Amino acid sequence: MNNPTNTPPASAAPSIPAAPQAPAALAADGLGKRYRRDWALRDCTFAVPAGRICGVVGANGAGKSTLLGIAARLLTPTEGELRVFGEPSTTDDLRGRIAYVAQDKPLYPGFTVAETLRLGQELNPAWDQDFAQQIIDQGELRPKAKIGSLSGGQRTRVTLALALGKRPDLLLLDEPMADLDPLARHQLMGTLMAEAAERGTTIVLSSHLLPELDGVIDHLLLVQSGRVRLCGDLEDLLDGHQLLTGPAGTALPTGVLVEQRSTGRRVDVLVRTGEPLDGPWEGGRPSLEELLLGYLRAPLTAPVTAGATAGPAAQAQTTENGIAA
Amino acid sequence: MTTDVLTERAAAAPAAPAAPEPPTRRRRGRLLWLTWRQSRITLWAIAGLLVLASATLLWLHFSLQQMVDDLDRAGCHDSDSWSTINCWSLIDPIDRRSVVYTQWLQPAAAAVPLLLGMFVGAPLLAQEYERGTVRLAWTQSVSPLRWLGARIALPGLVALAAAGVLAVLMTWVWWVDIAHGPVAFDPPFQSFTYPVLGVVPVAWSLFALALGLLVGQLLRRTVAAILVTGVLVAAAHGLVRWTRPFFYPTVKEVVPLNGWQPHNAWLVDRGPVLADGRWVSTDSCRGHWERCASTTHSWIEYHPADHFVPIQLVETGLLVALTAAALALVFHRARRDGHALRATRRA
Amino acid sequence: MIEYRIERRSGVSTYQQIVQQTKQALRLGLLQPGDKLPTAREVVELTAINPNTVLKAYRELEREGLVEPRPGLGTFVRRSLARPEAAADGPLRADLVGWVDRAREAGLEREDISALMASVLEQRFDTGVSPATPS
Repeated sequence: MNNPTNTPPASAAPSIPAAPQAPAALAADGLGKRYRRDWALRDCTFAVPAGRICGVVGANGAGKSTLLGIAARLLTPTEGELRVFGEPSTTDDLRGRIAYVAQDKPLYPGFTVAETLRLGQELNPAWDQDFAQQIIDQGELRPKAKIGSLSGGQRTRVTLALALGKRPDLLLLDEPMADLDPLARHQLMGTLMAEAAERGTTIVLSSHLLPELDGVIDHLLLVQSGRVRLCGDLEDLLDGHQLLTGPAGTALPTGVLVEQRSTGRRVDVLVRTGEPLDGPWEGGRPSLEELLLGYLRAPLTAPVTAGATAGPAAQAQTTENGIAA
Repeated sequence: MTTDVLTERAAAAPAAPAAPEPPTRRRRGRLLWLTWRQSRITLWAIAGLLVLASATLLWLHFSLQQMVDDLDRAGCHDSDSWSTINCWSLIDPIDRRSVVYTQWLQPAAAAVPLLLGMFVGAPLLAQEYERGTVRLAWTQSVSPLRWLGARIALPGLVALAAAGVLAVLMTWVWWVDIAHGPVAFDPPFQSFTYPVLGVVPVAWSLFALALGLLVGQLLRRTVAAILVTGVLVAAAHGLVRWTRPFFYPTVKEVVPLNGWQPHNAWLVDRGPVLADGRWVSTDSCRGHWERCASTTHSWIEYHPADHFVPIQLVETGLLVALTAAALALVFHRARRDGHALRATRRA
Repeated sequence: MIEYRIERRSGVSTYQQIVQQTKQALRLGLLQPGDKLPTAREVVELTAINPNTVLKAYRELEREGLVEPRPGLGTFVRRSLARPEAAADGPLRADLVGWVDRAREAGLEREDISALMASVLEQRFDTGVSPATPS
């Protein structure tokens, strides 16, 4: 566990877990994916640094699965480019470095648990049988049990064992925890976090269970209607927003409003600025859930990256829903 | 500022992608385990049926040989002698054994390509897509095309080998015991005879398997793929049977009225030769009987027995080309990704 | 070794919770100078929280001079926050035990006592009253 190395302190700052010059685990540039006539993903430009645990959040059908599918190389983008660890996502060498857990957790129903692990062993050169077995044992699964006879949560455990046994550098998880009971969810999340702590694995997980992500992710990618709405370091994003309450009709500076809700004579607003506002506003930094709900309820505007101030496009959009009047 | 854990992470982050061991040969063997595990039931079923069919054919051959020997010893070899009770009692069981071949084994063997297409080819990929396991396979460390190759090759080659062994045995028994037997009359171009002899059954098996794979990949529903493959293979068979006479130039000649084509030849068409020497179709006589009344000769168009091999070769070539096209499409579609996820995207 | 208990819905960030729980353990003497803190891996395996959060909390503790990393060995406690006066056998604690017993005899519930305590703490600390001049 303790591995004495003379790592220079600069590269060990917690906010940058990998070496600073290391290429991003995922870097999208103008990424788009069209199915027949519908665009599932459009104009996506973002980066997820290596070593992060990134939450991909969005409503159902927002494009989360498409995004992960492209990263998992199951889909080719219609336009733009996705680079994984600095290499085009189509590079063959990446195959062994990426593990992917699909939303429906496909497994061969006729295989036993042990045979499913054998599949992982046969098809992955870096396979870690002990680690995969440990995850299976933690769930008290019989090796001879047929996959078809397992519950949804047990299948999820086997799928995660298969993905983690590959010892990937990038782990893509599409709604991984949805059908797990609270104990198994806690155990498996702990296993994932331990893997990230020990090996610096980048984990990108999508979820629409917002509480599941709180305390787990340190990077956020909010996808809405096929576009990236927010992307950046989670703390920076939270610091850059305020959830405020004030009397209805109070003026707001242009370009900061994300979402507002009137409750009688009061109005609750989520604003995109860390600076204190003039006026009788009360409140402060939102929680992750408050931030996400605010964005998910609000109509789509220009993308926001951490630390960026609102651009002209965003201003034009917000005047439409401005509460100044 | 370095803590223990930071050192752990910093050291781990730029880690090498993977252990650099596996030589290609070893990995191919590894895929073989998976495809064996997935198709072992099919392979056992094929092996079982092949053993059953081979045993039946061998039994048929040796029992017929025995009976023919008995017939010869009893001096009943000539068909002239068959009217005697003694000879008839020896002929009758030979006849019944021959009927087992022509009435039961031939239709069953003729259905083999159809069954292989429906129950080996069609479910193979349809099931992978239907259950989404294709995404499981494609996110391991082997390339999708390699996986596809291995996935298809093992059951495909075993099924073909089985079809080949069956074709050899069927042809051998037909040649030795039926075509050259004392009683059976079974021209090679007949509907259930032609498709079980020579290389054509293997070519049809190949084609039906490839078509089943393609249909399964396109439909992604196992039951639908089985049914559609069945219909398509049957339709293709009907189409080929209809066009088969044109696979090789026919022989045309004039014979006396009511004359026949040579022994074992395949009569494609015939009609009257008019008094002025013109060849017309039988249909054109309908309603104009006076025109055809004076004819003394017929024209016949046929394939003699020795056209059997060239026709089979043309048909085999055609089927192999279609198979290659279907397989190319399967691999092309696998390379051009996107279908895997799209199938379940809105589910 | 200290085991962190993370409350997801407490409203306090996980990073703050680790810092506070470590300091609490230092105050109560559960952690002594030279003790080793659990590695990030050990913490996150049990708590299922982000490893970077643990690192951030440890860095905060390091900045306050409470812990120090020893490369390759782990993170170790540098100094204690425990005060002899607050020790389990100290006179202040005995006084407080006596006072709590009296409050219970007077019929106060646990919540009443804790509210009273909080109120007095607020009054004595936040109004700038110095202990030398009781009002």
